[in-house]
Amino acid sequence: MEQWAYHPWFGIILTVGIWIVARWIRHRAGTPLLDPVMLTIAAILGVLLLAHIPFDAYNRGGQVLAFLLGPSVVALAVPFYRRLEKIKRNLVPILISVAVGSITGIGSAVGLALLLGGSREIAVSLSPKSVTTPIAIGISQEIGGLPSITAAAVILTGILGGMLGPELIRLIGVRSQFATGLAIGTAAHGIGTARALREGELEGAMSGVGMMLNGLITAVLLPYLLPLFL
Amino acid sequence: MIRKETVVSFALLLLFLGVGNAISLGLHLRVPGNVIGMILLTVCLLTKVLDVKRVEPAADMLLSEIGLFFVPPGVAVMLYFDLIAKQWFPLLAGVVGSLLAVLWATALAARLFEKKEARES
Repeated sequence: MEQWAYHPWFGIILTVGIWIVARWIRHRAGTPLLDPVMLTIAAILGVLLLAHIPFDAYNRGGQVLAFLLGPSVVALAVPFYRRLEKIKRNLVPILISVAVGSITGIGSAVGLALLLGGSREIAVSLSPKSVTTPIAIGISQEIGGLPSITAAAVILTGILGGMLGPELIRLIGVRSQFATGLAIGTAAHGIGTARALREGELEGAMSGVGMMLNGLITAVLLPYLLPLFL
Repeated sequence: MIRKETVVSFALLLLFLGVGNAISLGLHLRVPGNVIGMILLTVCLLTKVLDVKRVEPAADMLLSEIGLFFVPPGVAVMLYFDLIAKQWFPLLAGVVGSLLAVLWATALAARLFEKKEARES
């Protein structure tokens, strides 16, 4: 294998370069559904497969970027704090609603995967699929899942929820902006929240709250709930 | 140009990350250390132990590009193409079915509370 591909700068430059292009494409397309993370992953996969570069070579640089995931998750405390200040009064009903969604999500993902012939590994990797990607990756590592499968499931969940979330909620007769926003954020994290923001200001704000609380609740509950399902 | 405030706030984030990891490992918690760090920082902000302005510069900078940092863990999916080829159906059905379940369960629970509040007021 070419030595240069094993140099950390290869993975860093490839990732940042494609990321900048992907963000530009999303900006031009003007839809939150063209997720730049998905575009970047797909383009890098194409480059590595075509050039026969192993993942280990790419990841010399990749892990340098992935290290920043840690402080970034800690940094989520800042938007979380700003939102908590606004919803203080309604915190308990919101917390319970998101917890209901969170536990439903874990149970249904694990249950469906196992029922349909999925392996234990797949079921575990799928269990945090509604949680925002940076937190979901950490949870997946902690519970013995495959973080990359989790990331793929999370992004797919976000795109589907962003595409169809509000319509699917109207299907069961729920019209409330508050409930719609909270449900979209809880089910489809940041990508869903981008769609909720276009539905309206209240939907967007509640979606952000749902996303943060579900990330937190799932991170704390899932490692202890999982043994009950498996 | 990187300002001093940005460097200090980045160091603070790393400090909370380190403490979170130490707690996760030391107490054998199965919660990721970065999430524990996030919870600790949120508590410090809510109780005004730490002013949000102290951590904002680096936090806003990292969060504006957070997607970049989970590209490499996502690219690792290439190691599991065989597994996905074999298990694509439970994976896909799990995502779609569970998405529906979460959307509906959360929306119904939230509406229940909304109606209760409307009756009481």
